[in-house]
Amino acid sequence: MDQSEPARRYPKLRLRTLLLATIAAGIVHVCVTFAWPLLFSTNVVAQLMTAVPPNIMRVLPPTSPKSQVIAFQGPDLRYAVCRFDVSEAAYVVRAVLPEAGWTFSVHNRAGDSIYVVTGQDQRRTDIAVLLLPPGDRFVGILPEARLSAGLAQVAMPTSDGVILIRAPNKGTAYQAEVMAELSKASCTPKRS
Amino acid sequence: MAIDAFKSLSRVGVPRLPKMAGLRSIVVGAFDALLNVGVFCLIAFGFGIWSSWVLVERGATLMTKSSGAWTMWDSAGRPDADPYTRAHFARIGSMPLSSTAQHTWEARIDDEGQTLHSSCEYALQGDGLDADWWSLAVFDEKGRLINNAAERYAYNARTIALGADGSYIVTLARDARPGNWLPTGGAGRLVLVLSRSAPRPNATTAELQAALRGLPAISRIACR
Repeated sequence: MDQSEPARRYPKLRLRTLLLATIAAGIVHVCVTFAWPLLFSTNVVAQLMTAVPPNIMRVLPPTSPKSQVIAFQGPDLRYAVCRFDVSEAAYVVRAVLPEAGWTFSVHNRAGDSIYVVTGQDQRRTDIAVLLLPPGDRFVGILPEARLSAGLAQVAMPTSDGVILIRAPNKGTAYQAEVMAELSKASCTPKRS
Repeated sequence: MAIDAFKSLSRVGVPRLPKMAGLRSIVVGAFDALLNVGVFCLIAFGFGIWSSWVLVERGATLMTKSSGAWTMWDSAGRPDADPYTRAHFARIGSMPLSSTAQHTWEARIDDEGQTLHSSCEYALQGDGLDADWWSLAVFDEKGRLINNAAERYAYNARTIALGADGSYIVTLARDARPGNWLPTGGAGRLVLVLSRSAPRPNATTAELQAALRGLPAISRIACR
């Protein structure tokens, strides 16, 4: 033992430890933030996918505590949902948004809105969209594109997801009208 | 006998065994390592996870907008959303429409900063929302609708009763109240969600400011 260095009587916290810990905290923070979506088992899109069959636009029952599918689901909206998988075929989707408050959205598996159209006040909005598989961005030369003149083409970043039409539920008197408009929506795989 | 032998050894130069000083340095060294490793883990994992959780739960100025008790995540539902926004909506399990089309405001506290709770009664007062469509709904803290006999879960631009001046008051209470009443039952902590169509893309700054001002104030009336 070096006699010139007096023996320490208490443990010492080193500045180096604090600096390294601060850097490590930053790394942990970033890793954990990116990991949160993977940690939560309740994937919203997966929940919706289990609620409806594929390739068909299905109107969900009015939102109530018993029929609620996803958290914070708007109780005064009627939902029409179509589950798609563009890995095997492109999809032709048609819908009508008769007024303000109506929305049409295409979501990927992560729940991101890939394509959104909102209804306009006192004006009908006709929607005709061709959903294409990932990677087929230069669709001009593809058979699907030749078959689909007049359709807005949307290249999906992932192969599966859901299409949602949200319709304001204005009350019992308007139910039939809302259902009639929702029933016009279609979602069809288009095989060449 | 043994003491005599030890004394004689010392005389011929055999070094003494380190006694208290040596033992102390070993103990201090062990505690030293424990302290440094402990503090390292506490800061690295504790602070790292806690800070991430806080930002995912509450957001910060960079990713949210606030007005009174209301908070909106700027890039909600967008493919280019930041990781905090993604984590927030993954955690609460909702699928908001893109913030370019709809603004979704959440309130978990009242205007005094107290957590919204079903044991209290609240008044939401606004001057009218300048939007094509809006909807105000109440949920429990997990985003579930609150079961009630009146089957009333939300008010929107078409179902709310407005005053003569276009203003409105919505009462959140367990028991029935006159006017616009949203039942809260025994849900515990509450979350208010106000969805409204987003201002048009080329909205002026004044219009954007007006959109922020239209959010209702949340005041606590009484608690049980």
